[in-house]
Amino acid sequence: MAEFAMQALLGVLTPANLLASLAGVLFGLFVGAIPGLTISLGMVLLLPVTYTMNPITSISLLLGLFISGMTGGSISAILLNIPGTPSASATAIAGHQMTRRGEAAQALGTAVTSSFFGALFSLAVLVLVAPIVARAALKFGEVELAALVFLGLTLICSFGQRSMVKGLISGVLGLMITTIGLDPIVARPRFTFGMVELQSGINFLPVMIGLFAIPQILNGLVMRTEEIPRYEGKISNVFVQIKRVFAHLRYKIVAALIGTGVGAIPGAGGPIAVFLAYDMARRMTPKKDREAYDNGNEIGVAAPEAANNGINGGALIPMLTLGIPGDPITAILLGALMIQGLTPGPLLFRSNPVFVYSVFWAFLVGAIFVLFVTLLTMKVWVAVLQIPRWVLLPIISIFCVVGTFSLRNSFWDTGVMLFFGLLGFLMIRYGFPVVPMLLAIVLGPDFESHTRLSLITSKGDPAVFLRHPISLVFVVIALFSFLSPIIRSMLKKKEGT
Amino acid sequence: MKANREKIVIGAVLLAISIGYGYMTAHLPTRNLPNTLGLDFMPWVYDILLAILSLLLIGSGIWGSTGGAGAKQLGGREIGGTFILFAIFVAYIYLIDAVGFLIVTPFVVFAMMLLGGARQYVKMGVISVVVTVTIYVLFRYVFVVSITGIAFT
Repeated sequence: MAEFAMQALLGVLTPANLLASLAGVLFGLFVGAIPGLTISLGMVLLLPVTYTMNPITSISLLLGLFISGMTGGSISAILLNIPGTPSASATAIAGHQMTRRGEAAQALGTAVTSSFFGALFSLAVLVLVAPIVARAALKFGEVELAALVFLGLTLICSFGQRSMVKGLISGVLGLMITTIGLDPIVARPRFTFGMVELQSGINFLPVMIGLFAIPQILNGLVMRTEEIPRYEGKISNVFVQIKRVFAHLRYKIVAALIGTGVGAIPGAGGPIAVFLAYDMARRMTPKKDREAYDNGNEIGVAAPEAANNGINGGALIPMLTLGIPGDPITAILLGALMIQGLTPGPLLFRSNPVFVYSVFWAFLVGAIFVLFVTLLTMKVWVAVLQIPRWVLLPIISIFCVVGTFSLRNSFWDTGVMLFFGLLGFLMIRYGFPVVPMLLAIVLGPDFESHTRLSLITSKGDPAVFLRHPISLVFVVIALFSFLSPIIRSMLKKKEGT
Repeated sequence: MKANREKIVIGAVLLAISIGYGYMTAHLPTRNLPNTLGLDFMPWVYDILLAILSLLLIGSGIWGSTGGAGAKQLGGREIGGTFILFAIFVAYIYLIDAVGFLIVTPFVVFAMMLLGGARQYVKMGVISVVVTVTIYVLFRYVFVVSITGIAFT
């Protein structure tokens, strides 16, 4: 184990991989800081680029972006009261109040150092827990794997969605899309209409880029849904705040624990973790200091930011150990690994332990880069907030077209991107979430092969999913996730009458 | 009221998709290996699920609570802008191969900036050219993607 870890460390510390990590950090700060641009968008834009990279360079780039994007979202949250990412929503509450009192530098420094703490904490949990989960998952057969993917899909489709029916419809449509192409068991074509381009199915990368990027471009250029105010103040030296990494330790530990735990649950989402952490920190604050907390103080920034980056490591646990992405970002990471021919899951820990350790080291390197780079270059990111949408969005558009073309040197993929872009725009407009569709497209092929192989071995008996204990547990949890919103709303109606 | 009407219409469209998908599934080749589920098994599962969910959506539109503003009405500018943006994308995809990335991209970037409400034409021109060259160099020489710089050279 130690030799794999050492080999991985030497691999991550090469100049090329350090540069990739730094590039990911800078790009992540950029997309995280600017409201309207998301971490998912940044990752899908970089995905085609990772085709030409080796796996460690690719993961260094994307993890750098993942960690820094979460941190970058706090910059506009604190300065403009507009979160750059949904997970920075709670930071805006205390952070912007500090800015109004002239304490912007302190708030920003607290946010960055707390994010670093959260990332480190979640990395420690990831390193400790992931091998244990992977070892347990090695005992899974086809039946357990089918039930696990079913659980992942139902959690994403039903948990945390405003309308469960719409979430499920989005997921089912995604699953239907995965049936286009060659059947995974008997390799006969389905729904290809004789077209060569459809033989290999719909590539998930143009779908991802279309679903995430095009609606944002449309909203920014055509709908112009929001105007971003300018920040006119000055920022004093933020770097001195680095000594505050371990300040307010008990609040940060609890918050990071919340972030890591929530991040590990598929479908739970960043905003849940950060608001839970904000609320928990308030409860932990002595009564005499509550007023200061409510008026915006360091703890009100530190807690949600520690939770925010605690999500990073937590979300990687189910993705790396089980191959189940819990959110769009880890779904994109999963896609990036599949591009490299790596299949996340328990077998990855056995067949490629050096790569697994590389992920851990790349995470640590990314977190360290984020801390120092953000604190040293804070004034740059404040200036970046002023870049107008009409400059950024056309550039993103060109990236999308060239990026999707570069996947297979084919404009067919660019056409697919545009189709799903329009579909994504319509879905968002009418209240259908796009994340379930995306995750269904990523997990659908595995779901079909595991399910059909399970039924083949049981000679078509569906009760096989209930006879295996682990599978039964997964199915029960999935049913509970379906029924609990219905039961909750029935109870609410009863209380109201 | 409007939200309920939307649910009924969208539910009907999804039901139609489910019927079409079911028709295509029914015409898939039947299984030819013993003791295996055919390649139509999962498509049927998804089709039935979609049909049920569509009916649920239609039902919630008919019998659900009234109220809800539904999706915001799009004005003429927004609908026109959407068409123009997609037309720009389609034309761009066609013209990159026919004319070359370096020639067509500055015009596309300029057009999108115009669509986004920018009116500082000199600044827009300079940005368009700089962005084009930067992206070309990045993809062509750093990421080694073979895009045609200038066609017919």
